[in-house]
Amino acid sequence: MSSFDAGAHLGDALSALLDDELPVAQAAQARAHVAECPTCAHELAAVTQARAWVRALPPVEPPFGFYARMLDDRLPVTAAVGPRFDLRRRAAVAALGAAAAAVTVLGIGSPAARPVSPTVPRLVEAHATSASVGADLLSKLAPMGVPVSFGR
Amino acid sequence: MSGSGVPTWEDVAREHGRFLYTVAYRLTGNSDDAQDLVQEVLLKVRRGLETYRPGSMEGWLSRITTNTFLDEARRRRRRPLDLLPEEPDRVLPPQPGADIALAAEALPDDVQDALRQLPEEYRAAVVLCDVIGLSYQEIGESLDVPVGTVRSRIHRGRAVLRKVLE
Amino acid sequence: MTKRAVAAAVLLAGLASPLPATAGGPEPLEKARYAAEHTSFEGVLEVRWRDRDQMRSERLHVEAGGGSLIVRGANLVMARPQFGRLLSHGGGGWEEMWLPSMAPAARPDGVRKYRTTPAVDGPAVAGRPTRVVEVHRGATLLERLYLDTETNLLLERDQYDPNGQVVRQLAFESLAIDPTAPPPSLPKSAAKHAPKRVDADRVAAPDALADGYERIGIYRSAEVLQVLYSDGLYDLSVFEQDGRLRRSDLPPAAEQVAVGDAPGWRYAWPGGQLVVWAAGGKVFTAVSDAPVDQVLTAVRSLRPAPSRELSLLGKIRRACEALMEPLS
Repeated sequence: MSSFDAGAHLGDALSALLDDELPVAQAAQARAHVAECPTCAHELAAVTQARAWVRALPPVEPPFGFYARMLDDRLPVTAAVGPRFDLRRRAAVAALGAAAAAVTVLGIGSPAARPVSPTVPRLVEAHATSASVGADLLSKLAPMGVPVSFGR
Repeated sequence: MSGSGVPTWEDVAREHGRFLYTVAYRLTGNSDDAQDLVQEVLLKVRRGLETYRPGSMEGWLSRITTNTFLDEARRRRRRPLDLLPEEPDRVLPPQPGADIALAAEALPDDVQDALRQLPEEYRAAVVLCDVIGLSYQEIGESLDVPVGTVRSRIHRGRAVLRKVLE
Repeated sequence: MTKRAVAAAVLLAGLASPLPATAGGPEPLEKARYAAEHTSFEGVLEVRWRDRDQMRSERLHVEAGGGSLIVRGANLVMARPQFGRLLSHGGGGWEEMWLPSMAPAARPDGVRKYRTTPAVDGPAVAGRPTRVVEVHRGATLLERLYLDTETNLLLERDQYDPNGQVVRQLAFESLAIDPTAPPPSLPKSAAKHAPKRVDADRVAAPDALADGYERIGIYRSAEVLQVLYSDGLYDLSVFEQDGRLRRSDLPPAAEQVAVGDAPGWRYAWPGGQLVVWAAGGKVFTAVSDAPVDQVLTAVRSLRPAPSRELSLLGKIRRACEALMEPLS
């Protein structure tokens, strides 16, 4: 029995179709509908794009020292004091500064307010890979087999 | 790893810390809250390990993380469940014949900012589905809502993301 | 002669052909580099390093063949022919960390700074006879290199502190040369994680740091700028990113050091040292396999460029940031 009225649009069934969460028969009907309905085709394309973007998000590296603090629960995990930074305003300034950032200078800079935590393991990996080019692989590269951590 | 096959919470922290942090960051949208969330989750993990049954550790952790996140979000809100405005069947205006190029790039920071604009329940559903990869059934169990609600939150959440990231 | 020895001899004959243009390191390391790229072998390598007051160690499994080399520890690292580098954390997805097109400039000649002793017969390492070479700087012994007599592979490398204590060590526990072994298989796909090369004239980074570290490459990924220096033997990267450093984020350091007027923190990693400090609105991280004193001398020579008149855009930006400076 058809669940879909010929005139009605699929709505959230489109996401279910995209995620393979529709039973086989319903999925077939949904696909048939999408083939004939530009509105639903457009909506399916939109949620497909949104899903692709979220799925493409990379893993996030925690701030330097996070693991050590996690395992040593005597230390506070965060030391956030003062007002939380308003991200919209920060984005606006970043856009303004983008043109000025075309030339980057090592060692000079206007005082930047944003706290930043160097993602040290990533930097170590970047260094070790670049330094291994044209050099003895074992010396330069083997240490990368050990995850960088600064523990207790 | 302890002899009985049940991991110690330190094993969990070491092995899954990065995964936990990623999920926490995608849910909360900022580093300080993400760290606090992970620490809270690990506290629960320590208590819950006695009742943990071997299975999907990541699924178990995802569920604890999301529920801890939502509990805190609800606690902070003064009004009840935040819903996206009701719209009729369609979420996007019809554009017959229009094609959306799927190759469009979106920077991770922009996607994260867009996620942050979703009400927490919608954000949680999208993160559980598209960041962690749980099924609707698993998401329903994690959030304690019917599958139909899961489906609707995911769909609406994605539609808003698409609109925001135009 | 055993079959293996014959096979090794055949390999050696191949190795006796003239070496390609060297990259500036001491000759024994150059031979070792060539050997690692042209030998099929498999072994277990132990890495030891001093972290604060204790020696830490990890075991790694290494496999090489067909010009590819793969290191298996908690991370997997792979070097592909023509300089590609791949990394996998904990056996998860692969990331492409380096592209063949990004090779840095040639390294300076380390001969001006370092002196290597002639090779002499050494102890057995991983059950194999070795030839030992020492690397000196002036009167100080910095390193001992133990090379496999048969193949010139680097079997052990020890770095010492000024008191003669081991600071870092790489040593094979076991090694098998097997020319018939198939090369390690390459992953089917890898997420792109390589930085982009940056033109030197767009960056005001010093051409050289103190103690003979010459700049050989500049790279950028997302918000981080990397400037790579080398003295021919050791390499040193300085990473720069905008922002201020939160001390509460820093884990316990091996040592707090002064970098000019700024406080810095030094940490040990299995491949060397790193120093984190902040100056002029930027956070710097220096990573190197050089000994501690050289790293500190080099980073201390990184003087901020004399301040220049800010452009109008720069002044606006500074004003906006000053408005939003959170109370701390």
